[in-house]
Amino acid sequence: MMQNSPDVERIQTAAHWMARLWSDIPSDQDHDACKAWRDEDPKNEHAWQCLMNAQERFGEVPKEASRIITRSRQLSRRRFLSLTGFATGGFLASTMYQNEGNYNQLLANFMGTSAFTTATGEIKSVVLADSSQLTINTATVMAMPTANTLALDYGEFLLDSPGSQPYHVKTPNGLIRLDKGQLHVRHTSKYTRVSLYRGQPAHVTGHDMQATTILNPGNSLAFNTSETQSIQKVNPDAISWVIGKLVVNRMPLTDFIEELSRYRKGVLRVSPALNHLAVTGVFTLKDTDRILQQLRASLPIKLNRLTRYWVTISAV
Amino acid sequence: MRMIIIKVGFVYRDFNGMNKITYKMQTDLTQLYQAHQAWLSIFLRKRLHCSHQAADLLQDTYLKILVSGKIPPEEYARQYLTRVAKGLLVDQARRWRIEQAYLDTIRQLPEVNQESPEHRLQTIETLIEVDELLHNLPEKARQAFLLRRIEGLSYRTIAEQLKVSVSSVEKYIARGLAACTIAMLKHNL
Repeated sequence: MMQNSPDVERIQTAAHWMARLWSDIPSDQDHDACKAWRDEDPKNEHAWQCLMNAQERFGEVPKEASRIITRSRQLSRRRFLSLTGFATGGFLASTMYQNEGNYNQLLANFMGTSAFTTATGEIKSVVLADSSQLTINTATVMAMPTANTLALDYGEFLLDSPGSQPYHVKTPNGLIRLDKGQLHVRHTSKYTRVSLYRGQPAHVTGHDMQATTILNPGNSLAFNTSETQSIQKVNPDAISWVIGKLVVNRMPLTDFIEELSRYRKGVLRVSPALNHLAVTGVFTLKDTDRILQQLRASLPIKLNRLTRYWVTISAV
Repeated sequence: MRMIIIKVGFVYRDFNGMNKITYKMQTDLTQLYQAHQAWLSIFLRKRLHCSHQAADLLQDTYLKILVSGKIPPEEYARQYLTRVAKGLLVDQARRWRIEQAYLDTIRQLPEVNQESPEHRLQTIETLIEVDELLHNLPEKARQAFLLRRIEGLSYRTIAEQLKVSVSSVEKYIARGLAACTIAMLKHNL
């Protein structure tokens, strides 16, 4: 502590008085007694001011803070975290959980109601009750309201179903039915993209569509509530995240950074002046810092780090 | 350990509170790096199980020392570096759990979910700071303090929520007030 700081005992006394005055109905005597204590010694008053200053810090704290902090402490108490085994900086190791019922117990306990969501940088793999494999990419918000319904609010997943039951996927833009096969669904603010890599034809019913569209294996379709794009061939690179890779071929740098930022905590900005640059390559998502270094090594760009969580990219 | 810090804590501060990095500091730091980075890197790798993260944290350790201006004398270097590195590991752990809890909470609160990334980042920083300030409190005292200070609940309501007496709530609040004041003075904020 600094030399001119009040001693701990005095701070504790000041705290005692403040706690008294914060109580539901502090009496006049309490107010007077507190004032008398403050006036008794300038050091008392100084301690009181230190308390007041400290309290100013809490002025900007959002309402949810108490809930979040209490929750985070529960996380650490559950030994989800120990100094010897936590992952930071984004990517949490892809985890495999065996599932007995509709919900994975471990996941359900940890995540509360939204059992199938992922944090930024996290790629999660879950085996469902019918032995379907569900792989969920970074920063995805989704839920499984019933044993064969997946509700995707944001993000993307890959579902590989052996076909023992049909799956219904809901996104804000429409419904998809998968009977059997490997289905990739990605929902962003722009549109929902559905790609069927193999299996039996899937049925896509957008809220905007006149009729259900049949999507054959090898085909991909993007739609939202106002338009439906034409059917394209699937892009095998679009699901390389399943193995922790980002594979791109002549992707504009600005798009690439937008994609990369989904995997990275914090803010990643790129100057629009750099949109003429294109990126090609295979990148390992586990380490987004390294990807940035690789970009810097191959493109005429410069990285400005305000903090570890705030990186801007501009022209050299 | 605190004694050591005071002993080596010879720092110039200008009006912005920034430390001036002197030439001597640079050469001292280089020496400190050359003499100790090998074992520190092993120490961090053992704890992080990831060489990239370990390398990052190794840099952060030295950066923190450079920024603080507190370059330890050789006889304390090992202890001091361990302490700083452990502090960073704890910071990372704290950040991790706060971020997890934050993400978890905003999923359930659509109105918070609307916030911009910058705002979120700022919120997380604030949460980390608050968590640090209240770190030394027992669980119930921390909860009582947060419920009063952040949510503005009455002592009576807090007492009901935490299943304790109103007089205990008052004691918890006093502990909370003292703890965050002391933590703030300690951090020299």
